[in-house]
Amino acid sequence: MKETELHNAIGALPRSMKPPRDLWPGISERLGAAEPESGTQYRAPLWRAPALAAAVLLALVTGIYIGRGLDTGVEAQPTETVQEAALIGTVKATELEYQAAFSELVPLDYSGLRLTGEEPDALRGSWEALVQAETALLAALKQYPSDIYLNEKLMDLRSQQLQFVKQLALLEQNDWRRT
Amino acid sequence: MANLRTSTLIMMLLSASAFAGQSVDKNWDIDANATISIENVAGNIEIRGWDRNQAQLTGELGDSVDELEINATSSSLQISVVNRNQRNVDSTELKLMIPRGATIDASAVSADIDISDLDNEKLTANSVSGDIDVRAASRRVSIETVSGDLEFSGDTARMSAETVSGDMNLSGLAGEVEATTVSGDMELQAGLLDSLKLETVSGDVTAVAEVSGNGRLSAESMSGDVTIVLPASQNGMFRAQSFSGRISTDFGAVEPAKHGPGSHLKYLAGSNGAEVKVESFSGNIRLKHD
Amino acid sequence: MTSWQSDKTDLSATESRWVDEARAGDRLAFEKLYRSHCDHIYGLCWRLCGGDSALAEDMVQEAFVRAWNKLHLFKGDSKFGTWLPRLAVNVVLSDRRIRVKRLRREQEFDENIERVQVGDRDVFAGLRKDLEAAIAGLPERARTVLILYDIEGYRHEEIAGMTGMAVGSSKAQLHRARKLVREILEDSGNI
Repeated sequence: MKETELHNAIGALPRSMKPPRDLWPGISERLGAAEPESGTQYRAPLWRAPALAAAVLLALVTGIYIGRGLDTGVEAQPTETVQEAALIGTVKATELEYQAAFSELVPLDYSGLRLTGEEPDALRGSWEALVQAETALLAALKQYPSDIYLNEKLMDLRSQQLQFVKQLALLEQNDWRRT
Repeated sequence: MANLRTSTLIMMLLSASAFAGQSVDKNWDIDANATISIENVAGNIEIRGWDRNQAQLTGELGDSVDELEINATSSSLQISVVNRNQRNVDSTELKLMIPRGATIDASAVSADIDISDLDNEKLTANSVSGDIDVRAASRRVSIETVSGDLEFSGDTARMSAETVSGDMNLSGLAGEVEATTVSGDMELQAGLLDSLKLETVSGDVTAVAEVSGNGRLSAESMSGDVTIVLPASQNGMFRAQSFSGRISTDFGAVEPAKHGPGSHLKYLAGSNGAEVKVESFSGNIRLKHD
Repeated sequence: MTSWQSDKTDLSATESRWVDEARAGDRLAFEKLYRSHCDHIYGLCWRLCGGDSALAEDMVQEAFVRAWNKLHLFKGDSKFGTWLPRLAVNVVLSDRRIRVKRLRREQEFDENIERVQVGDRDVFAGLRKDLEAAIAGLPERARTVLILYDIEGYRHEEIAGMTGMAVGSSKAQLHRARKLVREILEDSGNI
């Protein structure tokens, strides 16, 4: 196919697509309380996470430590398809991104989180579950570096780990805000 | 817990403040489908629906309370407990009666939230370490904690439930459900679902449901065990995959993965367009019929 | 749904009015703006997100919420339909910086393609489906530039501004994207 034909074909793709469901209710919910009077603000749930600046990462009092990352130096095995190679390449690139993002997390005696009672224990337990999953997954990936399923699971896990940290950061932000 | 006292109606001025250690007893006329929110850091929030077009707040303010911030109009009510500082927060116990059809948004940090007798469009409750217990009919429900437990029974068409380490026990579900946890356990009872999305890392999941035609059930776990119970008559495309967990199924048969390690299941029953997909890393997977 | 959904006559004057009303807090007016633009924004987000429809939905919602919050900044010196997609692109790119994205699985993608409707018809000739798949499979930056240039019609200077890359990089990424798409299509026996 000539480049111009391809260019035309791409340009002919429809810009618009109908979403699988009506997204308005979800949007409407977030637009704020009905009939706001002056001085009344919609209060988001205490840890509804907006976009998190990469710099706002923090540790629990006992410190969250980054787990080990995927060994991104491992030679790729021959793969089935071009798409699979692309997937694995992207996973490696993402691992580097992840490690860079989490490298700002340092085990501190950071006492900014004024969580009470069993809170730190519960959170630490959840973080440990995440790190245990990470350890097991990385071990499996060492054995089967090109396994698509395992690579996808690693991506999912990174999402979950970042989500966890986002939630903590929000807790911490809200704590400061209410002082 | 303060008893609900019948008392003469008292119209309070906007942003009337109360003093720490005091009892609270306030009333407002309000629309049947008003928008109501309440925020309390520590102690208790109890919310009950009634058939009056009124809201009533009773309770005891903790010693650390600086102000009880209230903004009331005929169609909205916002209540917020403001404490002097965040370090030592005493328990404030609040009970709020609201019109049954009012929408409610309750927020707490360590306070428990208990909601019942509502029949409304939308219900939102968030706590950090407090537990949330809801017995109500609400079209759209969103309940979240970090370490508190979640309980829901009643009716809903759209449920979003999230914890980090807290457990969940949800029943009366229908329509669309999304439930996420890291290490909490999940027990879900649902009727006919168009969409069920479950995510767990190490918490165990048991879900009883039926998936509608063209509906989607998706459950993902790292190490938590996942048990899905469906009607024997459930049609659709069944898929399951696990790296090192054991898959046992009443639908179709398990095979070793085609490429690489693990085991998987792919089984088509009928042609209603429904999909059931369960994936884990090391957690065991059970697909059962009732 | 309602009569105003299909009202295309004199849209820009009507739309200006909706924008003014929405800026003043009129949610119904904002909903009309939403209905008018959601398909375009969804299509844009869906492609930028590599075919991940769940993520695209989140991005669309985030974009409209942000648009609502930033309406006071929209001066009306450009059209709402120009301002909004830029905002949506910004939402997607910002999200990428903080989120480690799940890669779309081939299966899910196929299903999403099946479900996408254009107008009232499910239109998918073989080539178009493979083309969408090829685009979705591109590395992120290349894909972003291809979408913004070839589908949305932005110039390289504009793309550079939106993505934070140099104009030269935008051109290089476009070239790379088109080359990769050709290769993928050739590999899969399309051409």
